Amino acid sequence: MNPTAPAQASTAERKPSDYRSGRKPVWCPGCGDYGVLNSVFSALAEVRIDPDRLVVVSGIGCSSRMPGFIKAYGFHGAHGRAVPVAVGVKAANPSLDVLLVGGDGDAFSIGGGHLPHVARRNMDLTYVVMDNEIYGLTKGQTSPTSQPGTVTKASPYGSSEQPILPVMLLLAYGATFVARGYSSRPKELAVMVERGIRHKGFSFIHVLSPCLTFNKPVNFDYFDSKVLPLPEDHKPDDLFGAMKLASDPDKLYLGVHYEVDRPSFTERLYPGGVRPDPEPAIDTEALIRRYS
Amino acid sequence: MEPVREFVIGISGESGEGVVLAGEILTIAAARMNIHSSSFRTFPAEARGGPSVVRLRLCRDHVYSLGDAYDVLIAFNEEAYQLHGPALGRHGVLVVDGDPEKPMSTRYPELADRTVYHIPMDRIARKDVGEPKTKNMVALGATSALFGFSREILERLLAEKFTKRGEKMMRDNLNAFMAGYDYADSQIEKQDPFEVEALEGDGFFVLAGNEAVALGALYAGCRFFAGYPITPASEIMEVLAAELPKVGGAMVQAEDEIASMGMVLGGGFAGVRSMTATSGPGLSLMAELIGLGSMAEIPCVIANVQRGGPSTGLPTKTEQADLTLAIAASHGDAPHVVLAATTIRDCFEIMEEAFEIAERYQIPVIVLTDQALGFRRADLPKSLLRERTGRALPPAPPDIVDKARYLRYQLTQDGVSPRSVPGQPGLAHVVTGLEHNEEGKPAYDPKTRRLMMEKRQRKLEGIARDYGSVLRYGDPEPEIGVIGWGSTGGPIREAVQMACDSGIKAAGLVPRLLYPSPNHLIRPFIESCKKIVVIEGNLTGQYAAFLRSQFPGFDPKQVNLYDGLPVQRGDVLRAIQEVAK
Repeated sequence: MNPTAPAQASTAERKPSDYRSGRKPVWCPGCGDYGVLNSVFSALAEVRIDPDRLVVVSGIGCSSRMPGFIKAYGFHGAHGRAVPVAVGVKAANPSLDVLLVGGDGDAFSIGGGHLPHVARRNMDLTYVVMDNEIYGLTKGQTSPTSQPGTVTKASPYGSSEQPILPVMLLLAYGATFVARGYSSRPKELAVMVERGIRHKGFSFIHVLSPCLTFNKPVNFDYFDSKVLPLPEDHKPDDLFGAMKLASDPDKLYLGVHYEVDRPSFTERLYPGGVRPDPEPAIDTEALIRRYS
Repeated sequence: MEPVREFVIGISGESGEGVVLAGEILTIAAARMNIHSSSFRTFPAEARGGPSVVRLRLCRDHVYSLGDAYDVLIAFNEEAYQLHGPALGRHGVLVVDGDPEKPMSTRYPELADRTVYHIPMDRIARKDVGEPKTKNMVALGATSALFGFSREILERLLAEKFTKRGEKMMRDNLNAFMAGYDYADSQIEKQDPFEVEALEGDGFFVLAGNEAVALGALYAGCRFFAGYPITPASEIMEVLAAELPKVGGAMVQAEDEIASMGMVLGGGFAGVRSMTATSGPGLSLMAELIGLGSMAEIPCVIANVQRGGPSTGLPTKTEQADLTLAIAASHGDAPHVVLAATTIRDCFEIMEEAFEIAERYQIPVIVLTDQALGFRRADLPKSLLRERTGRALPPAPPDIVDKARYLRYQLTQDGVSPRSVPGQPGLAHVVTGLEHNEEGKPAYDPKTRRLMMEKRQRKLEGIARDYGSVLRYGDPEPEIGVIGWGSTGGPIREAVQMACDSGIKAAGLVPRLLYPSPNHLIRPFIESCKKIVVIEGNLTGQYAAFLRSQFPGFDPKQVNLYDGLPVQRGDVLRAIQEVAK
């Protein structure tokens, strides 16, 4: 989303509660996603997004139910396909604001093939991935971010696979905004989401958001012991520095790891980042000449 | 000798020798002379190497098929003759690269009573022009001189074609054309009757089926395309990649076909007419998201240019074997629409219907064509484009008095609910692939499930009624009926006429809307015929099986072709004659 060409941000002042749909979230008590939802409300209010011009897109999973809880247009689609749907919405109508939400299985496993492409396109989207290191909706199987040795019904002898490093991955894919937040630090997370929304092009926010029902060992205490702020001397445009920080599986740095300015997809597609209005007419005679 | 104005030319050689370019130029030259044409190219799956052939049928009226045997075969080398010679008609003419001193007929006895013109194409290109790659232009020049194509029109066409390619390229190609023309003009004594004649008119434009689909979409108001490269459908993406940005639209080359379909759902949801184009392997991948489009009721159009399947199959050849997949297209009962274009013009026009149905009924629409249509070229009247503005109005907000009580999936008699699109104030809603209630909220109770399933399915009744379109040809009281779909439509039309001319009471029926099936239009035809043949380009008779499911007791004779080649009018005529015996 591009602050220089916001058909999106309205001037009217907004409150976080303006974005509540009134539908009660279906999440378990204690789920990290409640905190994420509140941070999203705050960020939307801070940017003063017009709910009628906002589209929240998700795939399938516990966290993917989020569009239903936000007062906006929403698209709760198919497992792993949130990214393509969001790309389609934004490319077809760049004057809409598009927020992507979902979980680690949706984003990194079934939908993992879409991440490099949405990043390299620098599509004007903000993707908030809530990572609980487990498949919760299907009642607990390992996800691409599960720790080695994780015992589930589908991995009764403990998972033998290495987890991926989401921040590292997105840095390698060429994303222009990569951050990590934590659902138990909602204010910090809200600022990150807000910055992501204001960022021109693709912004990715990896959010630690525990599942206390199906991944009990990876709870708030677990994350509390692993998170730490980014080193003060880290520069957000230092790609290799960011990669070094992201490569340590035991230290989960919180903050904006990386942010650079690159032309966005819609900016390259449409002059000024908006669809021309009125729409130019088809040059019929030129087409006839081309084919005769 | 009475000149014959309507005939079929074959141009053949090695891929890379410029066969396709020569064929394209000759096709456009014919269009500028107001001569109707139907042309087709085949080439190997690999990017280079192997044989290549262009078939060009020339007529004084619009034609719907590629005709039968070659009347004139242009062979860029002897191997090309060996390969395509068997398709040369009994009174056909051969124009071949070679030395008149060493006539082909001494080596090929079947040529003894045929006209053979030897043109030293290779020698002229090498020695006279000094550029061996211009052999195709030498052949084009000779062909023009021998069969009545306007030298002026061709020279102008070549100048236009090569002007961007640099001066040397332009000079060499023009010189080669003129050298070929002059050689044939001065050295060959014409002994055959085939000669085109320019007609009155303001000319045609010429499109391949894939180009017609792309332009049809553009003029139907499509402003968003997402696709993944695949033979034989990529041209649709390429044309729209060039044209959409000019009219404020967008094209995304997606990372795979699943992404293409997801993007198209996103575009459709955003209120922009959106489509993708693919071939069988891509359609297989899209199946899940077509179901999402059906469930969430999102307008979208999928053009599927069929090729030989299954798996990678025959990527550069044709087949009509994706019908069952297109009709099923998703797990669950997922109402959606399948249309099949019958001719090149129909490839253009059917897109208008596809987008209209998709938007009016909020439903995915699959348009089936195939490689035989996608790569075939035909002339089209310029009025086809001139009479259209090509603009679609953005969807108007539904007329809702109390917006707080807006129901996106309201139960209605025709199954169509009021639809708002992002940006329209006060009408925000969330769509979902989960079963949902009228509001759009996930709901799994048995009553809601039943009502919603029935609501979505009801849309098909209106579509079959309002968009049920069949083409009917031939005798009003037929003994023999032929049913086919898609690219067999043209050959059926011509074959039925030929059968009628020979005294057989034959008729043809070619439905354009395949699913939901317009049974009210098909039943009277079936009941009016004594015997029925269903002819299609697949092994198992997919449409015949579908019709059996629609009409209990219906038992047609099946004719199935699955060799990768287009169904020809000769195939249809033979089928009719067989049944007539």
